[in-house]
Amino acid sequence: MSATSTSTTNRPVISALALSALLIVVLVPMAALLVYGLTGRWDRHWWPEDPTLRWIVEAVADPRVQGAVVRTTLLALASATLALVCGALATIPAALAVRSTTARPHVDCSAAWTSWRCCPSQSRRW
Amino acid sequence: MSLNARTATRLAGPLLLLTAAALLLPFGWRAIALLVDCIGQGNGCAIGELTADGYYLEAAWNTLWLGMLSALIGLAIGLGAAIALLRVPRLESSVTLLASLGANFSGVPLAVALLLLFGAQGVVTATMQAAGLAPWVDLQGLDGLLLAYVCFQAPLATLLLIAPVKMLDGSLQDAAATLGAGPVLYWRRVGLPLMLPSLVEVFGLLFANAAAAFATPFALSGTAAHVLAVRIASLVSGDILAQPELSALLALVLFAMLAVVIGLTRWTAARLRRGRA
Repeated sequence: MSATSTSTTNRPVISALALSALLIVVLVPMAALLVYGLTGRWDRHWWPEDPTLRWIVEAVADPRVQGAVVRTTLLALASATLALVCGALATIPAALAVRSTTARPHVDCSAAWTSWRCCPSQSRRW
Repeated sequence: MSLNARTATRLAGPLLLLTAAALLLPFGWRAIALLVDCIGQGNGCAIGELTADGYYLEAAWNTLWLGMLSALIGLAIGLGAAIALLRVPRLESSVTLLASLGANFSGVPLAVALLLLFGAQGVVTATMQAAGLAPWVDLQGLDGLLLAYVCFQAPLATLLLIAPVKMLDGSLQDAAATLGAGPVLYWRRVGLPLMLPSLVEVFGLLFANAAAAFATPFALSGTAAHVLAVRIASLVSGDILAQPELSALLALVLFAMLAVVIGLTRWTAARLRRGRA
């Protein structure tokens, strides 16, 4: 009895800990970059110093950064489109083909006893 | 709409062509060239260099265990998070969004973020040193690489496991609860065995994701990162001299490692599913 009640209370704690760990490993690196980008320095104490928008303004105004952003976006869009088209062409028709071959005996062969020509593959097996 | 198998195969042509041109052709060509070289030269070829000292084999070993350990840790966090999301469905869309970001937030941005936190001048390191404590992670070492890998493996595992966890029949848990089984017992005896094929397959994908990672270890430690992907790149554009043959051989070793692990996990998952059916 006590074992069951202990396990009942433990399980949500374990999964909640896992969810917290996930949020930490995802959010902490992103937050660190954001905080560092919005401050003058962050290496003397655990708190950041001199809040500023200077780095962001400089990056936005820099033509090399603008070019890199445009190039990265175009490359990402082009590769994503190509991958999506190739992947869709390789999977969707295959799934439709599998579905049509597996669905045919149920639909067509219900009447196969009277007309065996409707489903030759099934009639061969018979 | 119905399609026959021949049309479906023809439509898969672009992907097959791309895979062949980008993967099979170069690897096949390099493998044959290496074999011809070794048959002609004997011990002086790239295979001899690979096994001459343990340096490159150690890189392969590091890649293997880093891939496996980070995949296991990622799997544990991802499975726990996916189970937690079953209990709090209102968090699902936001956690999925964050996990999608985290899974792709690898490479240089992740390395910079970790260096800001745990590097030699990092805020966590400085704070710990100010408090008289030793830094608990060396970013340039293998434990630093493991930490970095977990940062993108855990979100990827969560994304891949949310669907299988949701597909588990909820009435099974109700039935188990009716029979007096708590959540731990349910997951140990029912949930995890049912999820095992998916877990094995996701493990294979996570391992491949970690083993082939290049940007993260390179951005963290440069050519000092002792893993296969970095060794392959450093042999092509090395500081001292380029050794393209050895680089190609290491790429083949990595390819074989990925093929074996992915093949093995898919085979195991298929067997587990067949055994269950």
